Amino acid sequence: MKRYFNILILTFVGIFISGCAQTNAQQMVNLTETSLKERQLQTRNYDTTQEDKILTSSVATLQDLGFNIDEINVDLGIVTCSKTRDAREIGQQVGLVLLAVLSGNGDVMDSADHTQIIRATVVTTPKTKLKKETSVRLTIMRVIKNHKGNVLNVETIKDQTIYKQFFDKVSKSVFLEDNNV
Amino acid sequence: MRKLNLTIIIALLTSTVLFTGCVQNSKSMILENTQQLKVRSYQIKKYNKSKLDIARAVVSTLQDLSFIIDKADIRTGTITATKLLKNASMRITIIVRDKGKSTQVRANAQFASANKMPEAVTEPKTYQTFYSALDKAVFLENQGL
Repeated sequence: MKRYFNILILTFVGIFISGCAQTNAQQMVNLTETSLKERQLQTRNYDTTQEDKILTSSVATLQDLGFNIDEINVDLGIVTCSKTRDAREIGQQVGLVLLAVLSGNGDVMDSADHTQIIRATVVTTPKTKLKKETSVRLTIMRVIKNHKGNVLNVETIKDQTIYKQFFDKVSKSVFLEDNNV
Repeated sequence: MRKLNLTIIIALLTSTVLFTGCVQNSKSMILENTQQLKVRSYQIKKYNKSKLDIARAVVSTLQDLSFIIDKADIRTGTITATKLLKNASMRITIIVRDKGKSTQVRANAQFASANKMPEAVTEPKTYQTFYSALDKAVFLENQGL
């Protein structure tokens, strides 16, 4: 009797715990404390009111980086693009191969990163209230899959250097467009 | 005998837990039994700004929330975006419509997570949270930021 009771208790505890630390729908649309900081990180202003020119230069930059354009809307200044690339990292591969050899379990390799789908949105906005500027905001995310195509990880990119490099490239692209390159 | 009874009770309890949420006929999900007026009441909000201003604010809100824009069209005022986390995903469509002196925004979303099948978001609280994020973006836009 006591044994069954224990099993019952364990079953319910399992059910309750499985509901813990899960993301719910409301959390998905909740602004976090870092939202404003991320907005600054993802945005750069250019000293021109020619939004079209900045949009074209951004698209050209995305093409330079090997992205395919999925969606573009000139009125709202939106460009969404994506690319699929290699995600294998030497360190991880070596570690997992060693682990597979030691444990004799080949399934360990299923947890190795294989390919990644990178998606990005660029939005240009005229900022004419305070200064004569056009802002560009980039947001990037990536989905990492294993060799079987199962999703291993999903993340929004928050590295400052990546954004800085992109915006430097857009600046260069604006220059190149000006000089008809 | 007593042991057998207990086994049956446990089996019943487990199956109840496993099969809750299952529907009798999966085709019933095509139209779903939604109450049109009620759904609209919490999905809609009005703003006293132009359609373009609100559409731009919607886009920056979605970016604030780490969504990626899938589709956007200003003529119909439609913006669709997706957010992916490791264990959860949300797809949201926002329609911005010109209503003369004001602009009407309507959002509808679907949500799925590791322990939840994909379903329409029906809690008004989620929409309120989204609109409070949009309010902030509209405010920032007003300030020229």
